[in-house]
Amino acid sequence: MKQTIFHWLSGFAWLAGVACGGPIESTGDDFATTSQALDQIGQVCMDRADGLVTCRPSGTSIRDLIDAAGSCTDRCWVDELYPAPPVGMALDEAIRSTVVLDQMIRDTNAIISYTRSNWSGEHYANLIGGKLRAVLIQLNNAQDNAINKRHPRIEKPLEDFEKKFVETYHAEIDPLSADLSDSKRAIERINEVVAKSLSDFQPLKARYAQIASRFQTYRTTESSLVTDLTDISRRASQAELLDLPAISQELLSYSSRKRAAADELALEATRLASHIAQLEAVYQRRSEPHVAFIDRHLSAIPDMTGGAVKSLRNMVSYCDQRRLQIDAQVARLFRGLTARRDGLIALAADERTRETMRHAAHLKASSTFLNEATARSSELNKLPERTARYGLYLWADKYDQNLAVLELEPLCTAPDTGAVPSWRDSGCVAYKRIFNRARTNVTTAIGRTIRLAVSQLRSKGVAESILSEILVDLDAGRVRRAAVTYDTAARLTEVM
Amino acid sequence: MQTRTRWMAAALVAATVAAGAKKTSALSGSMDLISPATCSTAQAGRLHTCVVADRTFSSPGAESAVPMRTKVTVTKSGTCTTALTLRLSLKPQGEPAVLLPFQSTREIFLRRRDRAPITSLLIEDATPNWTRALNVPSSCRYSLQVVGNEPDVDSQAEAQAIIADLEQQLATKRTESNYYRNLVQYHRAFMFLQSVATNFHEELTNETVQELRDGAEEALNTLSVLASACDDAMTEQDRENIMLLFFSLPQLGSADDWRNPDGSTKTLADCFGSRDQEIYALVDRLAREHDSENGSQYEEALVQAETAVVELEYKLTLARAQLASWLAGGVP
Repeated sequence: MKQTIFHWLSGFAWLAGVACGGPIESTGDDFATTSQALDQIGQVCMDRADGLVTCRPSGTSIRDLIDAAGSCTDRCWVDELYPAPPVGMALDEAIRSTVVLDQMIRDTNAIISYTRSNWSGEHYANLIGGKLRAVLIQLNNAQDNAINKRHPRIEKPLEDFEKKFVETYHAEIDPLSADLSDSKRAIERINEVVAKSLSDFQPLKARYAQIASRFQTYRTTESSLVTDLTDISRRASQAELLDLPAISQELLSYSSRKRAAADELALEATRLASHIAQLEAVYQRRSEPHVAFIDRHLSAIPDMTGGAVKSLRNMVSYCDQRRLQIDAQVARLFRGLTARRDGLIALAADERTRETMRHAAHLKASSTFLNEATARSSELNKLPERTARYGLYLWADKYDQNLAVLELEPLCTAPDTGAVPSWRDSGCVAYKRIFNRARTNVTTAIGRTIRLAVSQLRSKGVAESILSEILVDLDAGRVRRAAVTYDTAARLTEVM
Repeated sequence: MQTRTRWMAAALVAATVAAGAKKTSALSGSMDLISPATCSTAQAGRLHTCVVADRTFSSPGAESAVPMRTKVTVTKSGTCTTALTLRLSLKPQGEPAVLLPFQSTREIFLRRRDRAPITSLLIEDATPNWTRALNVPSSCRYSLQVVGNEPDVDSQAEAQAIIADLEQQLATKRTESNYYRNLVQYHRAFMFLQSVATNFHEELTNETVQELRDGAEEALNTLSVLASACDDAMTEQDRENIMLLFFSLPQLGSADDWRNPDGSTKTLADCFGSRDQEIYALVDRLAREHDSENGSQYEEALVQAETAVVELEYKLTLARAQLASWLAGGVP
């Protein structure tokens, strides 16, 4: 019997650690050998991880004890629950009391019952391997001592104690062992799930490493993109019109390659992320039967792929951004190429038509200038105004007209530079005739005509003094003044 | 329950990551249609609950001198037996959508009506409910490859025909340009000669000359009187001058020769025969109608024609570059 008890104790050796003692919060009740009050025949105690010890009289519910000790939501697994002899009674003394031993066994039962129902297997095992175990060892040692000094007075209690532990073994330890076996099997199954999933994930590691390596290399090409496009842009900005198609095709081909690289990498990363996510789903599905156990012991199913999937998504995002960057820069370059193409086309068309246009413009200007000459000639060749009554020509305006035409003579002589625009040549041929006629009119013809007409005025009764004034002016070469006087005299004849 | 939700979410994430939401990519590229990336694998050995997300393929908008097409190819592998007929909608920008039953059609060419490059191609699942209802063995794979904007050519002869057509267009345009070049010069020459003729006409018919003609006969009489009366006072030179006048004044002709019956001075056209007048009037009207302060319409047409020539030369060069592989006898 004794050995059986020790065997039960040693079964939890792997959990062990002897509980440390600490300050005991006593209930203050004194121990009594009689069984009038439960607090006089035993206690249930709890050692908190921070060292605070709380004890309550035997019979206090374990829940109340835990509450009295304070919340231990996060730390219960390191707290200790154990039975204790009445205040002031040593363990050696306690085992000699049937009442005390019975109570300690009841308290042990209560502790085990409560923790088995409410604590996780791991916490439960921890408890059994903790101070409770130490108390039991102490009881065992006390029992040894008692056996060695067997006294008829204690023989009966010892037998009772052994009997109680035999009962405890069958009633509590068998299920406890079973629970631990279940846990072990669950852990083994979880290990299998993890191992199987790791095995599934294993081939993907190489793919991931390969994609990560490609991505690493791809990232380094970012600067070359700018360099390459700058080079294409520079050449395009200097290219002749018929060199642009080659550059355009080069740019198209370059951008296709670069976009394809981004797309392929993104597609690969997407496929792998998807594959990983599918396997993760399988892993989660396989773990599903163990959810309760995992939640109780581990609080969550270990995340095996989150990092990789996130990393792959980041790669995809980078590739998308890179492609957008390529698109934007290539589109800008194509716009530049189009603008240069249009400009060069316009320039080439202009160059090829320039000679024809120059001829046309020359002829147009010549025509315009010649037309002006013709108009002036026509105006100049109109007969002077005549008086109504005697039909005498009036010369002052005609003289002014001829004089005004002569002011245009520099247009065709260009005395300063000697150069006359060629488009004036034809007009100037006509103008020369006009100028010659105008000069003759101004210098001789009008004057002579007026001089000849003086006798006409005389015959119409114009005063001699006026006629004399005309002749004096003509002699002095003041033709315009003579013409003005003559016209006045001619108009006078209308009313004479 | 919590765990079940978790792995279902993971499966959904897988599909979402694979398919992408409204993703855009280059006009050339690939996408998975039916694969573990687009379907759930929750049922062992099966692909099901597939989602083909919308995808837009885009092009940077490069120019083309030759007709273009976009090739869409479907690749299938594995076992994909199903009674469902799945279709994709392929919609080039500005063009009607084309339905692609991708289980039965392996290749399709998309062309714009004007055969220009497609700048954007939207691919959508036209039968999303059936795709979601699909349940095929896990080996089933359908993927789609888009080769955007390739020359719509299948042989060297076709490539050569395109070049020949462009060369013919260029030759025609050059002829047209030369025609306008000549026309511009003829037009301007006509207008110039018209000016010259008008100037001469004015010299011949101005009022002073007509007055001279009108008075020439009387003037000769007067000269005759004057010469008789003043004969003693005249020198030999004076006599020669008067004789010159007697001889040359009649050469001015009659002013009536330059007048119409209504008394108006004859225009240049009035000096032509009636048929010639019609032709002259037509040509003159054409010349004036096509002229303006800023130049003639023929000049504008010449610039346009010559611009078209240069554009065609550029286009021909671009076409040769685009079809280089075909023209060299190879296949791109």
